[in-house]
Amino acid sequence: MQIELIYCDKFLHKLKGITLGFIFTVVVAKIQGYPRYLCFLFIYMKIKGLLKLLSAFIISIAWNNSAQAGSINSGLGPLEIRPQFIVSQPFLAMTPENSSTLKGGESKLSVGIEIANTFVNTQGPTEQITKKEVARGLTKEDFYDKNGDAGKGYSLYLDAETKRKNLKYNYGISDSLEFKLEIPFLSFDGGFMDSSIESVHSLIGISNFKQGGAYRALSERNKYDYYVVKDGEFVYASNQIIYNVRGEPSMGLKWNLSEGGNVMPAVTLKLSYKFANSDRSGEQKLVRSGGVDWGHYLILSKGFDKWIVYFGDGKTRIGENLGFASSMSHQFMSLEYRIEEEVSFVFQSVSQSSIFQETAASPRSTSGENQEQRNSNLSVSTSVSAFGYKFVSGPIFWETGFVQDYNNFGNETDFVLFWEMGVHW
Amino acid sequence: MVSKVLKITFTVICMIFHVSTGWCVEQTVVYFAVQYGIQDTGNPAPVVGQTDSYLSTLETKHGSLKGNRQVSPKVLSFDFYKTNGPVASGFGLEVHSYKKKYTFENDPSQVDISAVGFLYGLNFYYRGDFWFPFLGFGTGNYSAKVKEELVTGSSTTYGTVFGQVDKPFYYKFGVRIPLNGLGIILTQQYISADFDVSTENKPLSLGGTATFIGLYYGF
Repeated sequence: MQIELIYCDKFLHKLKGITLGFIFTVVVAKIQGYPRYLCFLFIYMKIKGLLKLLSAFIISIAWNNSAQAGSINSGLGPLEIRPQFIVSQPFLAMTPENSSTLKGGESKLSVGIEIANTFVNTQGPTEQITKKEVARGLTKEDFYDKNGDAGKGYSLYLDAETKRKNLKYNYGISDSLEFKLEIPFLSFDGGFMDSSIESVHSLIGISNFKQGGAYRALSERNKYDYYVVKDGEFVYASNQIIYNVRGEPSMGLKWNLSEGGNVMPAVTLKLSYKFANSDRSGEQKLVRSGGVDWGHYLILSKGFDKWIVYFGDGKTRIGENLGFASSMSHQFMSLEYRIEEEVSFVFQSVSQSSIFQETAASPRSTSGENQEQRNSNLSVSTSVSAFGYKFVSGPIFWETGFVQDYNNFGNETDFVLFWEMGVHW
Repeated sequence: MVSKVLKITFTVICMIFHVSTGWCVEQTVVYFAVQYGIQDTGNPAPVVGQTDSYLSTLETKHGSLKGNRQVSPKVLSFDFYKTNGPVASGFGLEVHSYKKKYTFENDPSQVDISAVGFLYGLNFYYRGDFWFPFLGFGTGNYSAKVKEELVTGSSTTYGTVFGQVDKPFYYKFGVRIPLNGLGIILTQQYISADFDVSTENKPLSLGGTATFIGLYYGF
């Protein structure tokens, strides 16, 4: 085997303090006497002077018989589930997606529902909010520290099940460019999952009276209460159930930059845009931000026979943040096992920064653990894992699964069930 | 210099893998492994790691640490490989978990740290006759809890900080010694995962330099 470097050049480009580097390399490799011409374009980012190799993405363009034929770098795709935390429901959130796009002229129409159970009680450790206080109606003083200080940061009492119903339409503009339009309808209520979740906690030895069990035992099951306090003042205070309130629509474009090959991954750029609806009267303020949000995901995928791995890294910019974070970063890793061409199991891990922005809440105290200290921990990044099943039969496709929060930082859903079904023509 | 070395290494890996498609006999292999070992969190990963300062800042106030910075993680891993003759490439997931309590020489202050790392990345293999050397690199996330109880004179300050390292980076090399389906795995791993502890606003290394030994099962 002989490898010969024909051409190599590099150049740098500065963009908002981030240095993007490009290396263009052409090599010829002789394998068993046959020359294979390979062309690599490496694009990388220098962040704080350190090359983050995995934050780099690589586009490979190869010609001649460069061993690319027959490779598959995408399957049925990752689980297309957005973060379901109740506080982030009014804002745009990016969903993991397949690196492949619909072919030009193809369409997909689907309906889906995501049911998320969330329970957070930042007053749990001091038992300031229990069944009794909820029954008489919560006041902002319930969220103060035990000694009566309003305290800084966010305090929460979230006992809700959100149901997000989506109507989605995708269209292939060309073989590598796909358009998407999505309209959500949201319901917030007490739901039905509390009892099952508490039983599972008990089964695996997690106490529902402690932080691991989110202090669920202090509250009634299947009730709806949505209270968010920031720096001692209510941001949300609601216990009125809402049904099928239309959220703000969003649209997206997905561009498959490269299908990759036996070595190089497929590379896709996804852009999403949420329209603003300034009508936030009544219950609509719980599901609409009233501002324009937009975000991107850079998606890489690589196939290893029946196994396909997807990575995504992106950011969402929130136009009207309502006192929460003004941007959120997110990453996903998805592992698909193709049982057959039409059936896959998918394991997925998604990390994201918190919807709660950093506040002046002090993480230290001189009197044991206090309210402000607990509040300070809500602004940290967190992760969820998901497991799902995807199925295609002729024009019909189906996706179902669940999401589980494993960090228990109080800024993520506890458990999510999701289901989507549609037709492809 | 650092980025140049990484670029060259990555280019070489890509090229070796690329040309390896000229060989034949493709097969997918799956491995489950349990490993245990020593990880020195005070010894930064060469090239990608940096010295942390959270504990050294506390040392200036509370005296030197009693004991060292070594932790003993348990590692569960799942890997799959697509082989092409004697070389293989694949993907792996790893879960690392450990706990450590630090105390200080001058006062009864203490810091409890617990960390869980979920790491994933690409692996490359050479399938020899009796042993299979491998190397890999990747990212993932680390979740951590730091619980402080710091004594200064007659007062004690308390702090509990949760957090996550979103983009750690690791690289590793090692060897698998197959013994009929089961086998022994030895791994040398270098992890860069700096957790910003908000009480001091200083980084704490959750990674470092690690050596693991364990058993695997392949099918």
